[in-house]
Amino acid sequence: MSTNKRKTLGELEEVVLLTVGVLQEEAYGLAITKEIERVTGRSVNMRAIHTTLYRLEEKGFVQSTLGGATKQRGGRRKRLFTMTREGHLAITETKNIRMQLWNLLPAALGGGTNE
Amino acid sequence: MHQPPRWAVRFFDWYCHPGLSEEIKGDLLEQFEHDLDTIGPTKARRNFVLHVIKFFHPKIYKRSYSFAKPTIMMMFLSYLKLAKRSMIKDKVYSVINIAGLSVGLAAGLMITMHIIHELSYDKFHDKADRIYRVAELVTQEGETIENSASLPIPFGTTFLTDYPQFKVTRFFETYNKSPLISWEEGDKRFYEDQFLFTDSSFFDIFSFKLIKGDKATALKDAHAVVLTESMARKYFGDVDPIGKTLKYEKDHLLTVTGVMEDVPSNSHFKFDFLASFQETAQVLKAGGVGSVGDSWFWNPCHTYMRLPEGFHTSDLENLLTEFTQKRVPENLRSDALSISFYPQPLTDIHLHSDLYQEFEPNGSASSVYFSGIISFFILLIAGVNFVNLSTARAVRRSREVGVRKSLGARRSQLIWQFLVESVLISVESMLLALAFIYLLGPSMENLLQLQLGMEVILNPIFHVALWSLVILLGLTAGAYPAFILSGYKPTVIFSDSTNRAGVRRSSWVREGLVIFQLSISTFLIIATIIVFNQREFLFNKDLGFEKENIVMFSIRGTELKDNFEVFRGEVLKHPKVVEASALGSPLGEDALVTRTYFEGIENHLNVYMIAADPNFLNTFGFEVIEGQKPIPGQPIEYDRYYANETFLELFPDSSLASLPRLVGRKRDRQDPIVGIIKDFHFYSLRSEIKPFLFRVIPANHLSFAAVKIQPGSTFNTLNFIEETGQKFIGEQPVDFFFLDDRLDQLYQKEQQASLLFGYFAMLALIITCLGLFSLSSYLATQKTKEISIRKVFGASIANILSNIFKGYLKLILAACIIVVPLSWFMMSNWLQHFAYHVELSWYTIAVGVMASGLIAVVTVSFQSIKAARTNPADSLRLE
Repeated sequence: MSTNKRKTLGELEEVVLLTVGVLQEEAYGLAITKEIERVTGRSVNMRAIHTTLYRLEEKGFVQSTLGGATKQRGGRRKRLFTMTREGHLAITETKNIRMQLWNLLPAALGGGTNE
Repeated sequence: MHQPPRWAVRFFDWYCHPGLSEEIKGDLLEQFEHDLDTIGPTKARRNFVLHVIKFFHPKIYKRSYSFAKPTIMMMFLSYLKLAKRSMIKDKVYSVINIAGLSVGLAAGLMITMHIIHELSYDKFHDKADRIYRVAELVTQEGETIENSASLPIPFGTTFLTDYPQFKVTRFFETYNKSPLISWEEGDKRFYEDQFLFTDSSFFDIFSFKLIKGDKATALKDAHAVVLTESMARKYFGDVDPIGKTLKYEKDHLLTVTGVMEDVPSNSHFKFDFLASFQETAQVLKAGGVGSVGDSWFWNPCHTYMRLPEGFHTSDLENLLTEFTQKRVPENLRSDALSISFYPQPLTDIHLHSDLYQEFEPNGSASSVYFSGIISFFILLIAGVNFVNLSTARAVRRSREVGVRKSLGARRSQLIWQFLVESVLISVESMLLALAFIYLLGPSMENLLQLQLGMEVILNPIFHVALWSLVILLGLTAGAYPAFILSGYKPTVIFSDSTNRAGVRRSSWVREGLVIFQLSISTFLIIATIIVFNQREFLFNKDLGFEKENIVMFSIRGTELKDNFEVFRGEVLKHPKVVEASALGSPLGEDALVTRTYFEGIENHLNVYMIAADPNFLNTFGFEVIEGQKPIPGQPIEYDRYYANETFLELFPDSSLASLPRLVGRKRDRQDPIVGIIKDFHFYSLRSEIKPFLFRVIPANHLSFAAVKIQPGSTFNTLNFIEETGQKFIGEQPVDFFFLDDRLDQLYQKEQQASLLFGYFAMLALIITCLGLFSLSSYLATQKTKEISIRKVFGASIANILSNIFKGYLKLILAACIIVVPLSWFMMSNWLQHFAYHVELSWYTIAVGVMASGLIAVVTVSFQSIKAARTNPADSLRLE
């Protein structure tokens, strides 16, 4: 990965990327939207999820292919997303940063290590 | 069934980028279907509209995501897949196309390699541009009598004394040019024809690599010898050769001081041994030469020099003039006889020098250009095929283009698809061609008698050029379908059911190209016939003497020379030996111009002369028209002359009896001409017969023996002759050659040219026919319907065929019109190189034209007859 132009993850990007990982073979726009709604309990803008997915693909964190046509969806094909190695590295890094910060947090606020 | 609001769908279609529409609409519809089940149609519609409005966002209607465009790699793979499919679909086309192209490429490539090799001669020396050879011009009253690559022995040493800033080295080969070399400890003895004596400065000028020994000292010692790797193996095997002693001829001992890499094939002089020339007189004596090597007239030494920095050719020329004035003896600077020296750049020698005493027959620049042009034409023919076939086939593929376009292929994608397809074919052909050369290169070298210089295959620059050419070829061939066809509108393609639009547009180009191909192949056929005829003529022409069944060898040592009559008597006892004679040089390849003085004539005349003993007349079957043959049994009179018929032209109005006698330069002798023999070719057939004299002298001054034998059990006869000879010369092998073999070698260039022409003409014709065959099959399929309709209206097969053939005959005729005058002009020009040549006849050219026309007609008739015989019911039913 290039060092001068570091690809970072925004909050929504992180959630979408994780969901792509969660859904495995069935990660396409609508399914991801629904899954995020289900997990967070909030309503999510489907358009925002689509554009986020496209941005993630541009950044190289996910890959997509067009799936086969089915009778549902008026015969339209789905764009199926899968996480790339880089995507996995990116969320792992984000997670690690969070964990470090959590560990530095005073115990009273729920932080600290379990040493 | 409930549907989402139509206006919303339309609105979405309007704004959404086509690349994203499929998946987003799918998601919207899926959500809608879900909503229908859960919250009912009204809310579902409201939700749908809401989503459509939410999606109306720059990121959706502008689309700047890269994924939606397939990556270049993906498209490339898809093009490859399509190319593979279309190749498999049309196997005959692919095979013909690739076969034709790869054969053409292989031929072109081989010639190119040969040319590169020819151009690379002597360039491997360090600072080769500063190395020169000095050549000598001998003139007599302004007339050149010798233009020699070799110089008098003292030239090199004297020049070095006067101009010590130069590096100068000489090469000397012994007079008979194949000395006997022996290593007595190992009991190895061979005749070596690549033995050079040279000066110790040799390695200062030439950059040959020493494997063992030191360049600086290797040739310092007066008895040092450096030999090549393969010679080291031949004589010493695994034994270390350094310090071993080799014997040159009888008693000149040499110590091995170095082993050198074999001389590369692109050196204009080749050698296996380099020995010190320091003790010149001793070397000359060992080689059987009477001279001590101080003559400025005898010129056996090739002399090379390296110029000091900053010197130019013109400086050297001036220096040589100055040097000649100062150093050359006065009697060689008179009007009667004068010698002068001029420089030749080392790297020009192989292609531009053709002097007397060259080391080996050099190449010639014109034959390099010539083969370059031929191979270019072969490549062109193959390339034209490729272009023509792709074009013809492209027309058939216009429907494919229509379908692809309707399915959303962009024009650029179609262009790429066609280009990738044809580049793929050209790349595959080149790979095949390279494999062909790699596997068959060495045998092709033998077949064509050409040096290919295979090492160029490893040169990266060569490959860059090669593959750029291949890609260029592919792009050119793909250009028509790629750029024209991809521009058609699908509606036009589908509505024009005959598909003729493309055919018409490209037909004049195609016809022009076919005419071009036919012209070249026909020309090559005509040239082959003529070159072959001329070659046969050269080999079979009656030279005026018998060259068959004459065994010759050079006479070594004085024992045989002095007792030649005894030797002759011995060999004549063998039933198969007809006659034996000694003479000064092999007949038919060379004769010395000799200054001759005649009784009653003040000035000398230049006459070609060969010396021989009296038996030469019978040995070679000369026909004496006037005068007397020596009578057997009678005492032989020497210093008698036999003249040829042309000689009489020097003395018009005289007969044999009234011809003046020859007198010596000091006019102290009177030797008569005793006979006139029929004109014979003492030179190659390139030159005219000139005035000539045979001088009859005793055998002890002559250096070649000629034995006329009868055919059959030649091996035994040769054995007998060798054994007889060895009674005189001891246990040395005798190196025989047959006179006719030797004379055939005079025409090696013609032999090679006829081979080259033959193979190239064949190739050109095959490739042209391949092209014609598949072209005719395409055109025939295109005409199937037309033919069927004609048949329905009552046309006979003959009618239809004549209709088809008319088109081809037109092309063949056009090619004839181009080729006939062209080949007449070029070939009569070529024949002018020979003083004696076959007559160029209309008949020959007609045969060539007929042959190629006939082959072309037969080729196209296969498919045409098939097309003409189809049942109209079958072909008309197709639609």
